[in-house]
Amino acid sequence: MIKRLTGTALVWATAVVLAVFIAGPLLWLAVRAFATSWTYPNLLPDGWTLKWWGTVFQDPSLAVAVQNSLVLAPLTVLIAAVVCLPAAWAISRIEFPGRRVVLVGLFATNAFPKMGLFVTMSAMFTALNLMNTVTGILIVHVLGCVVFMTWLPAAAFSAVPRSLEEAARDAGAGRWRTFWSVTFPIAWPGILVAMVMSFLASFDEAQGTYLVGAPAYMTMPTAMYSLVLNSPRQVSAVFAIALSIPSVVLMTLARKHIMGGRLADGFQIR
Amino acid sequence: MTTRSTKGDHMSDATLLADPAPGLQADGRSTDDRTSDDRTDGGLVLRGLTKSLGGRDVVAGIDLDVAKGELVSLLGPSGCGKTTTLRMVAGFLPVDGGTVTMGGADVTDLGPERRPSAMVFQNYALWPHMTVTQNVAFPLRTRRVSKAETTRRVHEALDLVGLTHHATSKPTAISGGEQQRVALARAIVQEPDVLLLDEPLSNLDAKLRVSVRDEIRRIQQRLGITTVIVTHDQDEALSISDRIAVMHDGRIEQVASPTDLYARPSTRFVASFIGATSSVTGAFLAAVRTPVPAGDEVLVRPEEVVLTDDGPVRATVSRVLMRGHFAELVLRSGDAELRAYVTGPPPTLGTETGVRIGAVLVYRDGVLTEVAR
Repeated sequence: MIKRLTGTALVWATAVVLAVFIAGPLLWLAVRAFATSWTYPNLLPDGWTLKWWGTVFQDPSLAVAVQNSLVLAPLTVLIAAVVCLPAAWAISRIEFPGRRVVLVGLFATNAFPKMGLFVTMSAMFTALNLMNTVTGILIVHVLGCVVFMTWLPAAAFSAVPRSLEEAARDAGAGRWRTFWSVTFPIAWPGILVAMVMSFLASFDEAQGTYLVGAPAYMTMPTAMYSLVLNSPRQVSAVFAIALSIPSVVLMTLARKHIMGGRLADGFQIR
Repeated sequence: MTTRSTKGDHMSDATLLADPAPGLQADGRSTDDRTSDDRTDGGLVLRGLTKSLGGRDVVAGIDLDVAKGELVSLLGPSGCGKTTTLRMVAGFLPVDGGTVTMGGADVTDLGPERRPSAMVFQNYALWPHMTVTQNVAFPLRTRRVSKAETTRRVHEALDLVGLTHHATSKPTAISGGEQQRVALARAIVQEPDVLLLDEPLSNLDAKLRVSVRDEIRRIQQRLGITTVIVTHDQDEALSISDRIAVMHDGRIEQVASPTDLYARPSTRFVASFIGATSSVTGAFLAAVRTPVPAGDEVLVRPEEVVLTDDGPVRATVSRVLMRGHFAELVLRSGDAELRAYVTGPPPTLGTETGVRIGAVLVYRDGVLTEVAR
């Protein structure tokens, strides 16, 4: 009995701590977005207003930034998929020399401070006339999600039992047909996870985009950097909320799809 | 089928048992002695099949003829090369040497999708993202069978395995036995020349195993499909097969009908692998009626050991194991031990009894020389 009570108390304590650390800042953000001003030590804002929302949504340069983000992120996912998925399949299914080196090498790119990498890249991009171009930004974004787009789908392909592919071959399907009818659909949940993560990585990428794209191409995160520096706090709060909307929507959609049985079926978890 | 009946006729005088199936017969001839025109009978023919994996000859020259409509089991302990053989027949594994012929056509160099064979996998290998119907329909879709005919044939196949009520279920939602039947339906819907089954019953519990086994045999006979089953279970092989090929160390030791195989195991290995045997040694040798040359090994089936008071050798019952409708006894005479089966109430421990031995199998250098009575 005492054991159970202690257990319950622990669960509640954990829940409260989590709520304070996760929901707390979000709440603060939400309140701030509607506050006329909110100064220490007042517990509540001095007044309520919607004018900050107007400031954000009426600013033409911000609208352009939103538009840029909504174009760049899907494009990044698409390019990364085209480049990385065949590589992921090869890593999973073919024993080629240097396979491990490739895998570890992909991972190693994330081991260095990003900023250093971007500075080097911008030097190269200047020479190649890629500064302030969409191509340049796309290269930065795609590089940022190569790891997700290779490792996760490679694991997903490896999780497809060989016998399922053999059964398809035996049933008269060639290699191509086998891939599209059996391997890909079963690996799809894993690939979807990789795509969602790539989308979010691209959507939130600011450092490289700023260095390569600004001021010609601003995205939502780079626009936010300028806002945080140049506008009242409330405007950045509004913008932060706006920035999180696509992520939240995407995660909600993906969650339904990922947890809804397809993944469970494919990986035999139930 | 004509080939087989002719074969049966002209060999019947040499065959001890009524089964007309060809195989290793009393004169020691094996199926490999068949003439070349036997190959055109539309079944499965393997010639000199070899495969090395990791520097080891996993399959070391296999010759096997499976007549049209016949069910042959590849039986052997794990690691004997039976699964490797099956995978070469199905086309998943390229051969190192030899040929595979199906229905008179050489398919050795064809991929699995172009062979007229269908396989039932050990783990069923059903596609989890498709329904039962989609699973069974897939082989017809890849072969561009019309929609109407696909629907008809899928329904027929599901009907044959008794699963029409699960047509729209996902494979994960049905039981292991049902999954196995879906896998079988997916294979037979293709109307294959050769049906291949890899340990089809090993993932089922004992009770289900018997019913699925009988079902496989019923469907196989009804459709008359040439079938090869890989198994390590002798009961399964003995009860379902027209003929059994016993494999050992990458070679076929013997091909024969179940009755022949049991009565005349051609090698020491086959004798010990199929059914129970015990060595006749020491004092018990006196119970064998025919004289046996010194140095030869004498094996006896426990059911050929008879307990009778006027038996030539005296022995005591040193162990009694109840096995259901019969009991297994261990008899002791001096240092020698012998196993016997008795039906009815078993004698108590320490009972002294006379022993007579019926048919014995005599082996010289591991090869059968004589079945002495």
